[in-house]
Amino acid sequence: MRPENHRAVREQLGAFALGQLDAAERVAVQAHLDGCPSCRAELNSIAPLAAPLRSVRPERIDDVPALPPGLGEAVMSRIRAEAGGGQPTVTPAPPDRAPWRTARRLQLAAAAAVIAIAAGGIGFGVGAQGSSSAPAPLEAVAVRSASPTVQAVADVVPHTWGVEIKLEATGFAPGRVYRVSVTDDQGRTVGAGEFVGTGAEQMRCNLNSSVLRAAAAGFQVTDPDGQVVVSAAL
Amino acid sequence: MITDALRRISPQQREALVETYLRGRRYAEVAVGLGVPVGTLRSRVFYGLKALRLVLDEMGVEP
Repeated sequence: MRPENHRAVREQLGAFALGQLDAAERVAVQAHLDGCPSCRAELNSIAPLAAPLRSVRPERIDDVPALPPGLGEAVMSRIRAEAGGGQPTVTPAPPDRAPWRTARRLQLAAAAAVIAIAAGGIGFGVGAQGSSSAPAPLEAVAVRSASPTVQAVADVVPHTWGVEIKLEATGFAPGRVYRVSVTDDQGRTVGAGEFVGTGAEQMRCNLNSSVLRAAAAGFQVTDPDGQVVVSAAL
Repeated sequence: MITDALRRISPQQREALVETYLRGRRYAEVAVGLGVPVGTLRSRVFYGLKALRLVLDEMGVEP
């Protein structure tokens, strides 16, 4: 399967799962699915959403504040636990667990940590901005790692000056310098900064680019040889 | 539950799902309204579903 076809089909999987493609497009996607286990797996993870989504009334989405009830307290107890014990929030998965489960656990923990920070600021009036300020609109992105050692999760934050990437990762080779760049929807690549690999130690790195969120199509992390190690579509 | 989950994905991805699926509008029409190519809108629908799945998993919900 040609890679460009694979990529084009992959981005149609959403519309395919929601029954939004016309007959010819459906046939083309189905033909690709028959020969591509990874796209089938992708479809299997999103297809079950179609039915429950149909029951959502769009006008209700804007009704209520974004944080679900109980989350504030759950988050604060987690923060207290971390502040008190200094225990890591992510424990290593048992050896019998498949690697992707570990990655998922890390991702969820990272997402929870991010919500924790936002909730701390809003619900409890912590910080200088006061309780009326809106939460930073963090957007979790699906990160693809081309290296078996690199585990990475990322959120992006749309700012008025450009998009910020909050990258959390382990496994970048210690001492090597990695470059992060954002690609815009015109195909231009714009630098967002550099960092040094920390090996097995967890790193958190915020990278800033001048590409506005609406124009950002993706980002990538390249090693000193110019090889893409981590990439994500936005 | 799924309404809560929708509130927690990015505004662009949410808008793509709401307009094309919940409101049933045509991709071409929505894309023009947002000033983006149809391909970008498709991509937002796909990554929106992925993000939604992640949020639901995090909330402990099996769709």
